[in-house]
Amino acid sequence: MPRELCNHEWKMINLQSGFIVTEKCINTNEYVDYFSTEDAPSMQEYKDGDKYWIILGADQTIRFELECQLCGQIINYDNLLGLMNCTGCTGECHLNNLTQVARDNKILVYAALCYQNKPNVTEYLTLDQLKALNKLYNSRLASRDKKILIVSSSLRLLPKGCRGDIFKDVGLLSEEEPE
Amino acid sequence: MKISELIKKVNITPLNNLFDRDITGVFVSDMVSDLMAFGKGGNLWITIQTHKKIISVGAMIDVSAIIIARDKQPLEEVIEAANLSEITVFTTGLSTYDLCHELYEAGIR
Repeated sequence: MPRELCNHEWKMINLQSGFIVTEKCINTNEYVDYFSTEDAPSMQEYKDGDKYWIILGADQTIRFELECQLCGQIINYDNLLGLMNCTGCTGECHLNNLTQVARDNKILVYAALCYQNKPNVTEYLTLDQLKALNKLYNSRLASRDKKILIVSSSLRLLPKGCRGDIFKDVGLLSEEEPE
Repeated sequence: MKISELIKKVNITPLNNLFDRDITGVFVSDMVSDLMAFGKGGNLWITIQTHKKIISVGAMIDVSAIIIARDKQPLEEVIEAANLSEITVFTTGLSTYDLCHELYEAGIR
């Protein structure tokens, strides 16, 4: 079946466990984060030119691709850090407003965050990536009156001050989420 | 099986309002990323985690309820979030293993 006509049925494939490693340069206050498949990511700080990186954290997560069971199309999500639900901030934030309007209609909104592999360069999921992810999670719902809406994190007004809750496994060794 | 029926058969205690959902299966994991990857709507989620994230991820996957094993107690804010998300949270003194055994004996396959 031609892909453009396919009513895709997505399935997660090539699941890989790993860590979201977040680093900060203490000279420039720049941040980067990336996916690591190491068994235990190094927490050792290091120097790189004029930058001095410290490791802020390594939280467990997964990486995956989606494959359509009908047409075989594969969509890669190597750039997806995780999903975040807005916990409310300012009324000027589009994500905050969308979350509240949607909630009244039993639609749960989540923002898809991408890894920031380079300082000050923000990436976003493509429309195809967002559409496939939405279809996958909506297909798993059991409640008929519930919907999932996964949107681009570009809707956030203040990414650095965002109070959203990112779905990743923080502090698993302690069983309790750190403050 | 409905949640209301499950309470009569298994040694679990509700911590908030009862939302009487159909149980379509059981998912056991202490990792939210695991639930994101493999969880399905209607699953009864068993975990020992007590943080607020179990409610937001549980709501996204549309779990039928959450059972926290080994007598772990979530904070009040977790219970409030569970009511808002219409997810019943249970606690039990049973270990995860024993709880699974009871669920199986109760007829959840």
